[in-house]
Amino acid sequence: EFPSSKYGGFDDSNQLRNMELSKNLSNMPKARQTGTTICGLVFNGGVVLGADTRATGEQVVDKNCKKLHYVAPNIYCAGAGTAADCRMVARSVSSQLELLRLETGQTKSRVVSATTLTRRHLFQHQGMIEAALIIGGVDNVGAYLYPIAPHGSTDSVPFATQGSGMLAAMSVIESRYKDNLTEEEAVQICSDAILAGVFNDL
Amino acid sequence: MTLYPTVTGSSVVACKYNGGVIIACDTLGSYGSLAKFKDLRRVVKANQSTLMAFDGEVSDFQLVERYLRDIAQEDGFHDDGIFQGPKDTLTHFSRVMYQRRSKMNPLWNNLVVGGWEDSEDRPFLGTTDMIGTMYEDNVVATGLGMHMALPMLRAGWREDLTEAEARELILETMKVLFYRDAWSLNRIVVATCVKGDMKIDEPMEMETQWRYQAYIKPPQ
Repeated sequence: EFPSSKYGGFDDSNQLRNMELSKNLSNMPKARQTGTTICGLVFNGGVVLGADTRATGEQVVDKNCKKLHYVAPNIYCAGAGTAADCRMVARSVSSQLELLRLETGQTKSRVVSATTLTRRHLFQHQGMIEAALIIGGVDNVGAYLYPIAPHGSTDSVPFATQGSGMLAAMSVIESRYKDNLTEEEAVQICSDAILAGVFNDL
Repeated sequence: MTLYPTVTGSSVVACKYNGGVIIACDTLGSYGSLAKFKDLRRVVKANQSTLMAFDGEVSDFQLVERYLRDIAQEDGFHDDGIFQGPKDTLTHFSRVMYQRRSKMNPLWNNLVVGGWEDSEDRPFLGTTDMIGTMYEDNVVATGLGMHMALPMLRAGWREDLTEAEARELILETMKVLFYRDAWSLNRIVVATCVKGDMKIDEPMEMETQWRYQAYIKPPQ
């Protein structure tokens, strides 16, 4: 009786079982989450992305988790939320972009392409894919930064933060961001923002 | 006021500096998402050497103010030259908060208490929340300030901060809170307390930066 069994998408046939289980089990197993701080900044001529390296379930599962995912030679994506979701979405979009590059004979992909593919994918799954991403890259038109929420909404901004440490990181960036930062300044602000998330959050 | 607050104040931000304490709040009283009262004073003189600031329900704090007056009056009756200090005030009110929560009728406030502790000859700063969690620290913030102001305060705080440096640090945090707290205002009150003197400044408007290139001419 779940629509997905007719139309494809996620297989919800275990929902009934899970509901029964949650009544009887006192601690339901949870998906692995990254309690995360990620941020991105646009500077004069480029984009800088930063992330912490802790992955948590009930304990710290990975001390050196990589949250910056390759999407294209000129585009990277930072991911917060469910680690697997972030990784697979990034991989999927990366493959699609590579095929697009081969079909059209381009050497670089547009950042908006990555963003559009990602947000269509996330929206289709109605927020069930818990990936909060920040896509950043430089293409022939300029340097772009797009944070994407799990339901698929996007913004085009000069700086962005996501994850549980996003407020701590945002406070650092809001107080120090200026137009036309140099790469060094931007990297410094970005790493200080992540440090704020690491020391004050998680 | 057990169930939900109606008219609320947003974050309080405070820190100690070399020789005193500085506390800041905006002057907004929100009626839900309506910015109804734009000149709400959320920092008061609790007694001769203590400042108290609140966030949360305004009417509950008005009760706290009544308690403060009664306590100060009784203190005067004793006529022994000894008056309640910030430590006494904080510990007293954290017990009040805890008692109220135990009766399932809380005072819906986070209180920040700062001042000069005469008995120990040092600045004092602490806070209690609506269920009576009390602690003292060099830097303190409530509400969204805990998530946004505290990281900045912890990074910028030093034992030998001057008043001017502390003021600048606090001002930076209040600006950031105005940018990112949906229920805040850029009009703030800053109060300081040193040994023998307390000052609550008149409200000031903060200069804020909105003219980034990306906001004026968004890409795409």
